[in-house]
Amino acid sequence: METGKKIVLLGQFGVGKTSLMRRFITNAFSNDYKPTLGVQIKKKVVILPSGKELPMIIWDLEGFSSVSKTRASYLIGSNAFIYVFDITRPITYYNLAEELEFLKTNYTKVLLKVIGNKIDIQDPIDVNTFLQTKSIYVDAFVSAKTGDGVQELFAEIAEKIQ
Amino acid sequence: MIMTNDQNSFFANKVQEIHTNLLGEVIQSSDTIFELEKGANIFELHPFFESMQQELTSGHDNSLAFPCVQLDIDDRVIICDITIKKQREFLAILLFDYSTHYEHLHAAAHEKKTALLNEQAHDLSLKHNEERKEYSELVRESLKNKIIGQLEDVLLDTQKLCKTDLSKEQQILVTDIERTITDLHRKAKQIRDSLEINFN
Repeated sequence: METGKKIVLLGQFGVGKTSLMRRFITNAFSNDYKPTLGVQIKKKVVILPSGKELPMIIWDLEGFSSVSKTRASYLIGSNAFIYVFDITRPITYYNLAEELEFLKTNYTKVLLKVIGNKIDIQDPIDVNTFLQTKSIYVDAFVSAKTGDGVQELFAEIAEKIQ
Repeated sequence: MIMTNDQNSFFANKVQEIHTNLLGEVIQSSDTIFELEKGANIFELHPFFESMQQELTSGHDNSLAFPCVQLDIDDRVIICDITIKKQREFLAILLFDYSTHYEHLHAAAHEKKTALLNEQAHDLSLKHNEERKEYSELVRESLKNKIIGQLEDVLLDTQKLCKTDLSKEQQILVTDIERTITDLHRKAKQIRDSLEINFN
Protein backbone atom coordinates (compact mmCIF):
# COMPACT_ATOMS: atom_id res chain seq x y z
CA MET A 1 0.00 0.00 0.00
CA GLU A 2 1.10 3.54 -0.71
CA THR A 3 2.61 5.71 2.02
CA GLY A 4 0.05 7.84 3.84
CA LYS A 5 -0.80 11.30 2.58
CA LYS A 6 -0.64 14.06 5.17
CA ILE A 7 -3.63 16.37 5.45
CA VAL A 8 -3.49 19.18 7.99
CA LEU A 9 -6.59 20.80 9.49
CA LEU A 10 -6.04 24.50 10.14
CA GLY A 11 -8.22 27.25 11.56
CA GLN A 12 -9.05 29.14 14.72
CA PHE A 13 -10.15 27.39 17.89
CA GLY A 14 -13.71 26.13 18.14
CA VAL A 15 -14.35 26.03 14.38
CA GLY A 16 -14.83 22.26 14.44
CA LYS A 17 -11.54 20.82 13.17
CA THR A 18 -11.57 17.91 15.60
CA SER A 19 -15.24 17.26 14.87
CA LEU A 20 -14.50 17.18 11.14
CA MET A 21 -11.72 14.69 11.69
CA ARG A 22 -13.91 12.56 13.94
CA ARG A 23 -16.75 12.65 11.40
CA PHE A 24 -14.36 11.58 8.64
CA ILE A 25 -12.55 8.86 10.61
CA THR A 26 -15.37 7.31 12.68
CA ASN A 27 -18.51 8.96 11.25
CA ALA A 28 -19.35 10.18 14.77
CA PHE A 29 -20.00 13.53 16.45
CA SER A 30 -19.95 14.78 20.01
CA ASN A 31 -21.43 18.04 21.30
CA ASP A 32 -18.78 18.25 24.03
CA TYR A 33 -16.18 20.90 23.30
CA LYS A 34 -12.68 19.96 24.36
CA PRO A 35 -9.96 22.12 22.81
CA THR A 36 -7.11 20.32 21.09
CA LEU A 37 -3.71 20.83 22.59
CA GLY A 38 -0.78 20.51 20.22
CA VAL A 39 -1.67 17.98 17.58
CA GLN A 40 -3.56 14.73 17.34
CA ILE A 41 -3.11 12.46 14.38
CA LYS A 42 -5.47 9.86 12.94
CA LYS A 43 -5.37 7.66 9.89
CA LYS A 44 -8.00 6.28 7.54
CA VAL A 45 -7.57 4.27 4.39
CA VAL A 46 -9.95 5.39 1.66
CA ILE A 47 -10.75 3.48 -1.49
CA LEU A 48 -10.70 5.63 -4.59
CA PRO A 49 -13.16 5.11 -7.47
CA SER A 50 -10.31 3.42 -9.36
CA GLY A 51 -10.13 0.80 -6.56
CA LYS A 52 -6.79 2.10 -5.32
CA GLU A 53 -6.33 2.24 -1.53
CA LEU A 54 -5.04 5.54 -0.21
CA PRO A 55 -4.07 6.04 3.44
CA MET A 56 -4.96 9.53 4.61
CA ILE A 57 -3.24 10.80 7.75
CA ILE A 58 -5.05 13.71 9.32
CA TRP A 59 -3.19 16.17 11.52
CA ASP A 60 -5.65 18.02 13.71
CA LEU A 61 -3.82 21.09 15.01
CA GLU A 62 -4.61 23.21 18.02
CA GLY A 63 -6.61 26.30 17.02
CA PHE A 64 -4.65 29.49 16.49
CA SER A 65 -5.32 33.17 15.92
CA SER A 66 -3.10 33.24 12.85
CA VAL A 67 -1.69 30.44 10.71
CA SER A 68 1.67 32.24 10.59
CA LYS A 69 2.03 31.46 14.29
CA THR A 70 1.69 27.71 13.73
CA ARG A 71 4.91 25.81 14.34
CA ALA A 72 6.41 25.17 10.90
CA SER A 73 7.44 21.61 11.75
CA TYR A 74 3.76 20.64 12.02
CA LEU A 75 3.26 21.60 8.38
CA ILE A 76 6.32 19.85 6.93
CA GLY A 77 5.57 17.21 4.31
CA SER A 78 1.89 18.14 3.97
CA ASN A 79 -0.04 17.06 0.89
CA ALA A 80 -3.13 19.13 1.64
CA PHE A 81 -4.33 21.84 4.00
CA ILE A 82 -7.96 22.18 5.00
CA TYR A 83 -8.55 25.68 6.34
CA VAL A 84 -11.71 25.55 8.41
CA PHE A 85 -13.80 28.50 9.59
CA ASP A 86 -17.06 28.70 11.50
CA ILE A 87 -19.81 30.34 9.43
CA THR A 88 -21.57 31.45 12.64
CA ARG A 89 -18.52 33.31 14.03
CA PRO A 90 -17.28 36.15 11.81
CA ILE A 91 -14.09 36.43 13.84
CA THR A 92 -13.01 33.07 12.36
CA TYR A 93 -13.13 34.31 8.75
CA TYR A 94 -12.49 38.07 8.89
CA ASN A 95 -8.76 37.65 8.28
CA LEU A 96 -9.18 34.75 5.86
CA ALA A 97 -7.58 36.61 2.95
CA GLU A 98 -4.30 37.09 4.86
CA GLU A 99 -4.38 33.53 6.14
CA LEU A 100 -4.81 32.06 2.67
CA GLU A 101 -2.19 34.37 1.21
CA PHE A 102 0.32 33.14 3.80
CA LEU A 103 -0.36 29.51 2.92
CA LYS A 104 -0.32 30.08 -0.85
CA THR A 105 2.97 31.97 -0.63
CA ASN A 106 4.81 29.61 1.69
CA TYR A 107 3.39 26.25 0.63
CA THR A 108 3.01 26.58 -3.11
CA LYS A 109 2.79 22.85 -3.82
CA VAL A 110 0.28 21.95 -1.12
CA LEU A 111 -3.39 21.57 -2.07
CA LEU A 112 -5.49 24.09 -0.16
CA LYS A 113 -9.19 23.76 0.59
CA VAL A 114 -11.24 26.41 2.35
CA ILE A 115 -14.17 25.06 4.31
CA GLY A 116 -17.06 26.72 6.11
CA ASN A 117 -18.35 24.50 8.91
CA LYS A 118 -21.62 24.44 10.92
CA ILE A 119 -24.17 24.74 8.11
CA ASP A 120 -26.56 22.87 10.43
CA ILE A 121 -26.87 26.13 12.42
CA GLN A 122 -27.01 28.75 9.70
CA ASP A 123 -27.50 29.08 5.95
CA PRO A 124 -24.08 29.95 4.49
CA ILE A 125 -25.40 32.11 1.66
CA ASP A 126 -24.71 35.50 3.32
CA VAL A 127 -21.24 34.47 4.48
CA ASN A 128 -20.45 33.21 0.99
CA THR A 129 -21.63 36.47 -0.58
CA PHE A 130 -19.56 38.47 1.92
CA LEU A 131 -16.42 36.41 1.21
CA GLN A 132 -16.92 36.61 -2.56
CA THR A 133 -16.87 40.40 -2.32
CA LYS A 134 -13.36 39.93 -0.93
CA SER A 135 -12.45 37.50 -3.73
CA ILE A 136 -12.40 34.53 -1.36
CA TYR A 137 -13.94 31.42 -2.81
CA VAL A 138 -14.98 28.73 -0.37
CA ASP A 139 -14.53 25.18 -1.62
CA ALA A 140 -17.29 23.66 0.47
CA PHE A 141 -19.75 24.38 3.23
CA VAL A 142 -20.14 21.40 5.52
CA SER A 143 -21.54 20.24 8.83
CA ALA A 144 -19.40 18.01 11.01
CA LYS A 145 -22.48 17.58 13.18
CA THR A 146 -24.79 16.15 10.52
CA GLY A 147 -22.01 14.91 8.25
CA ASP A 148 -23.23 17.00 5.30
CA GLY A 149 -20.45 17.32 2.74
CA VAL A 150 -17.70 15.83 4.93
CA GLN A 151 -17.02 12.51 3.21
CA GLU A 152 -17.34 14.24 -0.19
CA LEU A 153 -14.71 16.78 0.87
CA PHE A 154 -12.16 14.14 1.85
CA ALA A 155 -12.99 12.02 -1.21
CA GLU A 156 -12.26 15.01 -3.45
CA ILE A 157 -8.98 15.69 -1.65
CA ALA A 158 -7.99 12.01 -1.93
CA GLU A 159 -8.60 12.09 -5.68
CA LYS A 160 -6.42 15.18 -6.07
CA ILE A 161 -3.44 14.13 -3.96
CA GLN A 162 -3.26 10.45 -4.84
CA MET B 1 26.30 16.15 45.02
CA ILE B 2 24.82 12.70 44.43
CA MET B 3 21.18 12.43 43.40
CA THR B 4 18.87 9.95 45.07
CA ASN B 5 17.52 7.02 43.07
CA ASP B 6 14.10 8.69 42.86
CA GLN B 7 15.63 11.86 41.45
CA ASN B 8 17.76 9.87 39.06
CA SER B 9 14.82 8.04 37.60
CA PHE B 10 12.36 10.97 37.39
CA PHE B 11 13.33 12.15 33.91
CA ALA B 12 14.82 8.83 32.87
CA ASN B 13 11.33 7.28 33.05
CA LYS B 14 9.89 9.99 30.86
CA VAL B 15 12.42 10.00 28.07
CA GLN B 16 12.78 7.39 25.37
CA GLU B 17 15.54 7.39 22.80
CA ILE B 18 15.11 5.38 19.64
CA HIS B 19 17.63 4.84 16.87
CA THR B 20 16.55 3.52 13.48
CA ASN B 21 18.25 3.06 10.16
CA LEU B 22 17.11 5.22 7.25
CA LEU B 23 14.46 2.62 6.36
CA GLY B 24 12.92 3.22 9.77
CA GLU B 25 13.95 -0.15 11.26
CA VAL B 26 14.66 0.09 14.97
CA ILE B 27 18.32 -0.48 15.78
CA GLN B 28 18.04 0.29 19.46
CA SER B 29 15.50 1.73 21.86
CA SER B 30 15.58 2.56 25.54
CA ASP B 31 11.95 1.30 25.75
CA THR B 32 11.12 3.66 28.59
CA ILE B 33 7.67 4.59 27.29
CA PHE B 34 6.88 2.12 24.50
CA GLU B 35 8.43 -1.29 24.03
CA LEU B 36 9.86 -1.63 20.56
CA GLU B 37 11.34 -4.75 19.07
CA LYS B 38 14.61 -4.54 17.23
CA GLY B 39 13.85 -4.46 13.50
CA ALA B 40 10.31 -3.10 13.99
CA ASN B 41 9.55 -0.30 11.59
CA ILE B 42 9.04 3.10 13.18
CA PHE B 43 6.97 4.25 10.20
CA GLU B 44 4.41 1.58 11.04
CA LEU B 45 4.36 2.42 14.75
CA HIS B 46 2.08 5.47 14.48
CA PRO B 47 0.66 7.67 11.69
CA PHE B 48 2.81 10.50 13.06
CA PHE B 49 5.95 8.72 11.93
CA GLU B 50 4.33 7.41 8.75
CA SER B 51 3.47 10.92 7.63
CA MET B 52 7.08 11.98 8.23
CA GLN B 53 8.52 9.10 6.21
CA GLN B 54 9.25 10.98 3.01
CA GLU B 55 10.78 13.88 4.88
CA LEU B 56 13.03 11.60 6.94
CA THR B 57 14.09 9.21 4.21
CA SER B 58 15.06 11.84 1.68
CA GLY B 59 16.84 15.14 1.76
CA HIS B 60 19.59 16.43 3.93
CA ASP B 61 20.54 15.91 7.55
CA ASN B 62 17.87 17.55 9.53
CA SER B 63 16.63 18.19 13.01
CA LEU B 64 12.93 18.53 13.69
CA ALA B 65 11.04 19.32 16.88
CA PHE B 66 7.36 18.63 17.46
CA PRO B 67 5.91 19.81 20.75
CA CYS B 68 2.75 18.37 22.27
CA VAL B 69 2.02 15.40 20.03
CA GLN B 70 -0.69 13.00 21.16
CA LEU B 71 0.54 9.47 20.54
CA ASP B 72 -1.80 6.52 20.99
CA ILE B 73 0.14 3.30 20.76
CA ASP B 74 -0.94 -0.11 22.09
CA ASP B 75 -3.97 1.34 23.91
CA ARG B 76 -1.77 3.90 25.66
CA VAL B 77 -2.08 7.61 25.01
CA ILE B 78 0.76 9.90 25.90
CA ILE B 79 1.33 13.54 25.08
CA CYS B 80 4.93 14.09 24.27
CA ASP B 81 7.46 16.38 22.71
CA ILE B 82 9.29 14.65 19.88
CA THR B 83 12.69 15.53 18.52
CA ILE B 84 13.99 13.78 15.44
CA LYS B 85 17.58 14.13 14.35
CA LYS B 86 18.38 12.81 10.92
CA GLN B 87 22.01 11.78 10.52
CA ARG B 88 23.81 10.38 7.50
CA GLU B 89 23.34 6.78 8.62
CA PHE B 90 20.47 6.76 11.07
CA LEU B 91 17.59 8.57 12.70
CA ALA B 92 17.73 9.48 16.36
CA ILE B 93 14.29 9.97 17.89
CA LEU B 94 13.69 11.37 21.33
CA LEU B 95 10.28 11.12 22.99
CA PHE B 96 9.73 13.20 26.10
CA ASP B 97 6.55 12.22 27.94
CA TYR B 98 4.93 15.48 29.04
CA SER B 99 1.46 13.99 29.62
CA THR B 100 1.00 15.28 33.17
CA HIS B 101 2.19 18.76 32.28
CA TYR B 102 -0.02 18.96 29.20
CA GLU B 103 -3.06 17.56 30.99
CA HIS B 104 -2.89 20.47 33.42
CA LEU B 105 -2.53 22.83 30.49
CA HIS B 106 -5.50 21.18 28.82
CA ALA B 107 -7.83 22.05 31.69
CA ALA B 108 -6.61 25.65 31.66
CA ALA B 109 -6.92 25.87 27.87
CA HIS B 110 -10.44 24.47 28.04
CA GLU B 111 -11.47 27.06 30.59
CA LYS B 112 -9.88 29.92 28.67
CA LYS B 113 -11.30 28.95 25.28
CA THR B 114 -14.77 28.27 26.65
CA ALA B 115 -14.74 31.73 28.25
CA LEU B 116 -13.62 33.27 24.95
CA LEU B 117 -16.37 31.46 23.06
CA ASN B 118 -18.98 32.63 25.58
CA GLU B 119 -17.71 36.18 25.26
CA GLN B 120 -17.93 36.01 21.46
CA ALA B 121 -21.45 34.55 21.70
CA HIS B 122 -22.48 37.38 24.02
CA ASP B 123 -21.01 40.04 21.69
CA LEU B 124 -22.71 38.47 18.69
CA SER B 125 -26.02 38.32 20.53
CA LEU B 126 -25.77 42.03 21.44
CA LYS B 127 -24.87 42.93 17.86
CA HIS B 128 -27.71 40.80 16.55
CA ASN B 129 -30.25 42.52 18.82
CA GLU B 130 -28.93 45.92 17.80
CA GLU B 131 -29.21 45.07 14.12
CA ARG B 132 -32.74 43.68 14.61
CA LYS B 133 -33.74 46.90 16.31
CA GLU B 134 -32.26 49.02 13.51
CA TYR B 135 -33.98 46.87 10.92
CA SER B 136 -37.34 47.09 12.68
CA GLU B 137 -37.03 50.89 12.73
CA LEU B 138 -36.31 50.83 9.03
CA VAL B 139 -39.34 48.64 8.32
CA ARG B 140 -41.59 50.78 10.53
CA GLU B 141 -40.46 53.96 8.81
CA SER B 142 -41.03 52.36 5.46
CA LEU B 143 -44.51 51.18 6.49
CA LYS B 144 -45.38 54.61 7.77
CA ASN B 145 -44.09 56.61 4.79
CA LYS B 146 -44.71 54.31 1.89
CA ILE B 147 -47.86 52.41 2.88
CA ILE B 148 -49.80 53.99 5.74
CA GLY B 149 -49.21 57.55 4.50
CA GLN B 150 -50.20 56.65 0.93
CA LEU B 151 -53.34 54.86 2.12
CA GLU B 152 -54.30 57.92 4.18
CA ASP B 153 -53.92 60.07 1.06
CA VAL B 154 -56.20 57.74 -0.88
CA LEU B 155 -58.75 57.83 1.96
CA LEU B 156 -58.75 61.62 1.86
CA ASP B 157 -59.29 61.49 -1.89
CA THR B 158 -62.22 59.08 -1.59
CA GLN B 159 -63.79 61.33 1.06
CA LYS B 160 -63.47 64.27 -1.36
CA LEU B 161 -64.98 62.16 -4.13
CA CYS B 162 -67.97 61.30 -1.92
CA LYS B 163 -68.78 65.01 -1.67
CA THR B 164 -69.07 65.31 -5.44
CA ASP B 165 -72.06 64.52 -7.61
CA LEU B 166 -71.56 60.77 -8.17
CA SER B 167 -73.87 58.34 -9.88
CA LYS B 168 -75.29 55.42 -7.89
CA GLU B 169 -72.74 52.98 -9.41
CA GLN B 170 -69.86 55.42 -8.75
CA GLN B 171 -70.96 55.86 -5.11
CA ILE B 172 -71.00 52.09 -4.64
CA LEU B 173 -67.49 51.82 -6.16
CA VAL B 174 -66.04 54.66 -4.04
CA THR B 175 -67.61 53.24 -0.87
CA ASP B 176 -66.12 49.85 -1.72
CA ILE B 177 -62.67 51.43 -2.32
CA GLU B 178 -62.96 53.37 0.95
CA ARG B 179 -63.85 50.20 2.88
CA THR B 180 -60.97 48.26 1.34
CA ILE B 181 -58.46 51.06 1.94
CA THR B 182 -59.66 51.48 5.54
CA ASP B 183 -59.16 47.75 6.08
CA LEU B 184 -55.65 47.84 4.53
CA HIS B 185 -54.80 50.94 6.59
CA ARG B 186 -55.88 49.16 9.78
CA LYS B 187 -53.81 46.06 8.91
CA ALA B 188 -50.70 48.09 8.00
CA LYS B 189 -50.94 49.89 11.36
CA GLN B 190 -51.34 46.54 13.09
CA ILE B 191 -48.13 45.30 11.45
CA ARG B 192 -46.30 48.49 12.43
CA ASP B 193 -47.50 48.20 16.05
CA SER B 194 -46.67 44.52 16.29
CA LEU B 195 -43.11 45.27 15.07
CA GLU B 196 -42.85 47.76 17.90
CA ILE B 197 -43.89 45.10 20.39
CA ASN B 198 -41.56 42.42 18.94
CA PHE B 199 -38.40 44.46 18.67
CA ASN B 200 -38.49 47.01 21.49
